[in-house]
Parts: sequence; C-alpha cells; structure tokens
Amino acid sequence: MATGLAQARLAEERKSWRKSHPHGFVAKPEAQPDGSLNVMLWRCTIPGKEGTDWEGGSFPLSLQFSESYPTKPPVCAFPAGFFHPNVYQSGKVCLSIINEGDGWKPSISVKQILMGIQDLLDTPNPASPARHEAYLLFIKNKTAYKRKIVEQAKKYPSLP
Amino acid sequence: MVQEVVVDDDEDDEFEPLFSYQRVCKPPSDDDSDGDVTVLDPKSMSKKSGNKVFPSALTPTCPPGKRAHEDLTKETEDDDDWLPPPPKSARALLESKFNEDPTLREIRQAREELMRLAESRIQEDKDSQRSVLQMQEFSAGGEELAGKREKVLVTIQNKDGACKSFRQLKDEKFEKLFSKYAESIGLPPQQLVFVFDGQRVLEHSTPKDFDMEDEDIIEVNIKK
Repeated sequence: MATGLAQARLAEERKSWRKSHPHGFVAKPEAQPDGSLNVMLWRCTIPGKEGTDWEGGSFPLSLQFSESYPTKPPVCAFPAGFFHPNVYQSGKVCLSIINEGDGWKPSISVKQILMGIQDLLDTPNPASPARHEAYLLFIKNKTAYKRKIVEQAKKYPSLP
Repeated sequence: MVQEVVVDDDEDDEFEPLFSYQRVCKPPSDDDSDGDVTVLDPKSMSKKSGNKVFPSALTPTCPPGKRAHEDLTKETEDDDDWLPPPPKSARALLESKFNEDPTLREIRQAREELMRLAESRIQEDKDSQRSVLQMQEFSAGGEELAGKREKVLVTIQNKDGACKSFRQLKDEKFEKLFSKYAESIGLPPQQLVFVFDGQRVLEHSTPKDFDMEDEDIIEVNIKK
C-alpha cells in the first residue's frame, strides 16, 4: 500500500540520517505538542557554506512529504519571504532535483535534497527565477545582492 | 490416380495399422472430389484388411472397436475355462485375509497413533522443561541488565567529518566523555560546542535526555 510505503521509506531515511549526515545539517520529523512525531513533516537546517556570503547562517527548511512519496518529491520550503532568486515568495524552493517530472527520482535521499539546496544557495540558477526582485538584484547589482544575503545569514545564525 | 494410391498403400503396409493419414489429411486433389476419396479409401482398406492380421484396428467406424472388446472378454472367459479353478481353500483363505485386513489395519493405526501421542507428549515435556530453563536464564539476564544499566554508543563528528566513537551509560552525564574528547584533540573543553539534532548538548545532560540510540552522531564545533 502506498500509505505504508512513504512512512517506511521515511523511517529508513531518518535511521540512516541519525547514523551519518553532513556536519551542520539537521533533519528530523516535527515533534508534535503531544510528544509524538509527525513523520510527514521534517524540520531541517541547512548551514551556509563556508567561504560564501551564506557562511555563519543556518537556514530553516521544511520538507512536507505526501503519501505519494517517494514517487513524488517533498515540498521543500524556507520561511516565507526568504531572499533567493530561486525561492518563491512563499518560501518554496525551485530546484530541478526536487521537481517532479524534471530531475526527481525516488532514489534521491533526504541528504541529497538538503545538500542540493545548500549548493543552490550560493549558486542561483538565473535561467529559472522564482522571485523577481531577488533575480533582478542578482543580475543587475551584485553588491546590493551580496549585502542582502549577508544580512539574511545574520538573521539565521548558526548555533555556536 | 486410384492405382497410384493403392501402390502407395502397399508400400506403407507396415505403418498403416496404426493410423491412416490418407483418410484424415489428404488434400482435395484436382480430379477427385471429397466424396470420391471418402468412398474410395474405406473400400480399399477393408479389402486389404480382410487379408491382414489386424482387422479391428483398420476398420474406421466405432462398432468394430466394441467387437474387439467383446473378443477380449471372450478370450478371458476362455482362459478361465481353460485354467483349472483355483482351490477353494486358498480362495477362502484370501477372503478371510481380506476380511481381517480392515480390523488389523485399524489396530495398527490405533497403535501408531498412540505411539505418536506418547512421543509428542515426551517432546512437549522436554520443550516445556527447556522453555522453563530459558525463562529462568532470561529473567536472570534481565535482572543483570537492569542492575548493570544500559549503555549507548555515540559518535562525535567534527567539522571535517572525522568521527570518534564512545560508549557510555545512557543515564551518565556527558561531562567525562566531553573532557575525554577535548583531551584527545588537544583543546580545552570550554572551547567545544556539542550539538545533537540541532540542539545544544550541555555537559550535565545525558544520552537519555535526547533519546539517543547506538551510532547516533553528536556534532562538535570549535568556538572562535
């Protein structure tokens, strides 16, 4: 049944994540008020890469899985208003590997999604802009764009 | 045409008794109509079969088959007549054997069943004894475990991905482990920040506080 499949896969993803994941990343099912876990909604953190304007920031990202996962990819979203040329105003990330019918494959792991999005942070894809103002700034005024990014990284500081 | 067919038949004589392909799959030839062929073939065959050894096999219709059967039964009857009748005493003996057989079998079956039952009982007894022993061992082990307290294997991973694993009690504070780790990398513990699943892990907390399992990763950052 499709119902069990998504949950089973997510349990497997979480298990392997606990044993091994890239430094600075967080990915865990959301804890509900009653203490139980909502396995379909993951709360993640993506660290900005060192040596980029994103360094020092830890950016919160939610992965909303559906019952059709892993046939369909999760909806990956930063907080609404997140500043990036490939992130919609709603916070939804536009990236080929998490786009059904584009680059998504059921074999892509949560780890690969998160690392793909980390890559996207510092290397926006101007070919498919999702947020016009961020795109324009990125194209026309690199210094202003950079200032915006550094500001945003400070807004989401890493733990230590 | 007709002559040719007959000649062929003569050549095939040896195989003919088994089955006559002529009758079944002879293609309608240009000269002969189907009716001709059907009329012709049985004739020729019956002509021949009259002289041959296997009359019944060659005749195409069903009744002759029946006749053959009758012949057989006749033969067996003849055989009976020819043979002297079996001695009556032997027949009685056979009958009595047949009569006894069911009861004997019943008795034998009953005995086997009983044996099986007995065996299974013995096996059950053994099993139960074993399980009791196991239970005792298990409970003893459980008591030991409870007395010993559970341990957990945690891995500390630094920024470069290098890992070091430590085993410690689930309800023991991280203090010792952290100072051990700090010592191993040659840095003061105060300069290290430990993080589990995005949460800061402080010295006075324990693996239990974070529901840690074996092989869980604690990340370590160095304060600048």
